[in-house]
Amino acid sequence: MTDYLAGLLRDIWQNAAARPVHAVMPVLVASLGMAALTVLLSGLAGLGKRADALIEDFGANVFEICGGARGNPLQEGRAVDAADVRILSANLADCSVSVVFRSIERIDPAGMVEIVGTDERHPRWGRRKPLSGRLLDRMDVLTAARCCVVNAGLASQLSLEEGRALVIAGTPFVVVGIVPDEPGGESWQGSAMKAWIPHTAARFWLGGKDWDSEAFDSMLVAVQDEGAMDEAVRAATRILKQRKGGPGNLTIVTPEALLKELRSVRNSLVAFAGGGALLGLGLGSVVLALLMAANVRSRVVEIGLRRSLGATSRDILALFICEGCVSGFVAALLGVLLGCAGIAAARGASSMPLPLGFPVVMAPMAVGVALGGLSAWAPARLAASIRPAESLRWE
Amino acid sequence: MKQLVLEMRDVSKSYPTPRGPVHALGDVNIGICRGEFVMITGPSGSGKTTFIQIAGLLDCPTSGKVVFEGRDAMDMDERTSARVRAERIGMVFQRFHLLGHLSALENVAFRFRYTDVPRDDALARSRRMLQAMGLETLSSTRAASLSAGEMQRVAIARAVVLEPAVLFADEPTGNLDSKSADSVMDIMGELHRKGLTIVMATHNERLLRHATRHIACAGGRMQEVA
Repeated sequence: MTDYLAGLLRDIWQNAAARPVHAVMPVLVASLGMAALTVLLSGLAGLGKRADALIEDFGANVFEICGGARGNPLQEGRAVDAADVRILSANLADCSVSVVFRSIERIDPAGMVEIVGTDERHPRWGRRKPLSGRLLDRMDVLTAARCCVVNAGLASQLSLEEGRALVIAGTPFVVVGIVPDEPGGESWQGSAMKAWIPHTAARFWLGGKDWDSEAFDSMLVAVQDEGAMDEAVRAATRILKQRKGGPGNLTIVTPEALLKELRSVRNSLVAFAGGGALLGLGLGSVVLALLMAANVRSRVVEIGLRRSLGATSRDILALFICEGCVSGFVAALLGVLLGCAGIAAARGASSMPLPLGFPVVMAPMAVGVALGGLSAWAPARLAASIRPAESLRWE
Repeated sequence: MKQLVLEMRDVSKSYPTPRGPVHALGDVNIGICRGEFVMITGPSGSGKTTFIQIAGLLDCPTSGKVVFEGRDAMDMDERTSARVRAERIGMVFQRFHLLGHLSALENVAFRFRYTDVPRDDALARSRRMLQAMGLETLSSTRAASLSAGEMQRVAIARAVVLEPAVLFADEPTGNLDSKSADSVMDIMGELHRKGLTIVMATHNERLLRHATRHIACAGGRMQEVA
């Protein structure tokens, strides 16, 4: 069996070396499709991770009330004030209201770090155990303590450990705990490094002129019973409408809305990258099939010679199908390399996670081999059906 | 008593065409014994190539029986007849049918492609065969760069390297000048002297002096010539 395969591969290599244009052209066309497929799969895997991360970060039973139509607090300004927090806390039964004050700070040598000012009711604290130390508590918030909790990524970048100081905006904050990174890698703002400090300290040290306005970027409302989520969202909308005379520039972001947005991104990705992949693969397989058919026609005498030397029709079928599979495999290999280069470039320009896991690399390989084999099927059958006596008389 | 290698009984072959069947061979009865050098002569279209292809198990007769080394070819399945072609039959063609992109050595070793002989062994035996035919200097030359005479000598080396029971040659000198043709016929004569059974089709009756037996072919009929 090993000798048989070695013989097949030697034949394929010798034929490719003899007809390089025939061998290379379909491989190049199909590799473009494979590259698009690799990017598509990576994008879809990234979106899946991002969805997991968002829900993990956000909480399935949490909704956020923030400024701006698209719910991006850093872009839309601080729209929530302390009175909103107090009114919602008092009127939403079985809900815990927490505030968020966000800032992006440069902390060398780590680079851009997302600083989140929050309180002890932040929904993430309920779900995540610290890797070391503790989480922010009520006393930290009341005393505007200059302490912080950092994620593992930041701790590792700056060699931080419990008791050491992280300098934020020129002020040292003592690290009291380290929490695991989000599953999606990068956070909502695209930074993989994050630190949480009491919102009272955040407003004072990071708020600039707004520090005394008691304004926040958003409120996080955690509903104890996930089934009561819709009711809580409706109640919050009603309360804020009464208080502000309309929804104004506030947006309520629910996990469902986030997933909807992600689904829309995923659909766009499937449409564009999937279309590209389909076009490339379709064209590649058509070119491969046509060139395979031309290949068979140009090798009729060789087929006759092989038959005269003891090849059966199955040997001829196997030869051409293997040629197709090898072409598909090489196209997939090239395509994956091209796709990886594209992904590496896209990673620099976008915050979207683009993982390159085993399935992202292996799926195009499998598709390539299968497509190559399928494209070669009809020409291979034609080759196998050629009668040796006729092929040896072929002009 | 001489041992029969190939026997044909009432073998006929016709090809269907839009204007009705064309009879290429009709009622051929022939037996070829081990060690013979049979030359089949006749004009183009007389059925020589059809005879060689049926005898070489590359084609099936429309009717009749072909027995190769005691086995009825009609009873062989595809795998068995392919195995017989691989191991017991050598073929030389008018247009050589070498693989132009391979070297002379690789072309000879290609004879072992569908056998169980290991690659290293195949290359060693092919090298020895080229040496025996005085072609060792050409072993690494691409077949496409060889002269016609050299190509046919390499093709003969490929056909006999596996020591077949019969060598079938279909117009082996048809594409050669007289000097190259003589050289090829010298090799054939030498192979025959070493005991190889040869069946050769040609339209060149000048080559008959090499043969031990002459069969004339005309209009698909074959007749022994004394």
